Amino acid sequence: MGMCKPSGGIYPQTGRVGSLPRIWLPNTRIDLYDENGRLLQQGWYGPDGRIIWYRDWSHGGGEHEWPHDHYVNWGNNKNPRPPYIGPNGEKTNSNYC
Amino acid sequence: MNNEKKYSKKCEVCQKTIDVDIYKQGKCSYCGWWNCFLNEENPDIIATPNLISLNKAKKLYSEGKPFEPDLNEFMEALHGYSEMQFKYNGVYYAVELVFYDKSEPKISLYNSQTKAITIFIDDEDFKNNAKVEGKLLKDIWNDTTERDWLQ
Repeated sequence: MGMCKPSGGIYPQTGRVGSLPRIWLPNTRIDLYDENGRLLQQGWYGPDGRIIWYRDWSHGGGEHEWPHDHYVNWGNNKNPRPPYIGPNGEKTNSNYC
Repeated sequence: MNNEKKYSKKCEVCQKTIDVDIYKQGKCSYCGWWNCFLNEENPDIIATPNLISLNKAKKLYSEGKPFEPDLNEFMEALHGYSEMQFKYNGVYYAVELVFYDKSEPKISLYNSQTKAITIFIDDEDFKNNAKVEGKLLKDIWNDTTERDWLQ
């Protein structure tokens, strides 16, 4: 199983940015849309069902590349979501698609 | 596994029976608390989708107050999610962690109207010096609205 075409399937949800559940079906992805059908955020869930990766497609704020990724550091007790920066400065990880 | 099936539990804050998913997660339609295992295992931390801790929510609920973060809680949420917002006098402001190198992240304050960005070196710098319309943010925090994950 790769993070492309997650073996557990892809689940569309409607909601606000930041509302993805912390745990979900293992090896899945949730695509979060707003009420107008605009893709806001995607979340990838690992083998234990915990969210491990975010891709932000649309939100406010300053200068951002779109989309951009965040990973979840479950080893930290506050589970921070730092931005992903690839070895060549890229803002998304092509292993997640 | 049928993840469409509805499950029930008592809301961790108001104790009313609510619908949740298979992992006992879900927003309480009565008090607004997002029930989530992470908050239940760690009742003093802030974790999405909630902007305050479970214990703080219980306290506010018992006092009949809304689940709104104070500035310290907003900063804690920032360190968990990296991208936050608030609104003041009709203008949205983004507060974000910025990572220039491998040192500790800095904090940026972005005015969506003027597009101005101010950088702060750490939490204390931000809490003591961040200004909105010439006023210290810490002094007008109670007048801000839409404190949230960056929408």
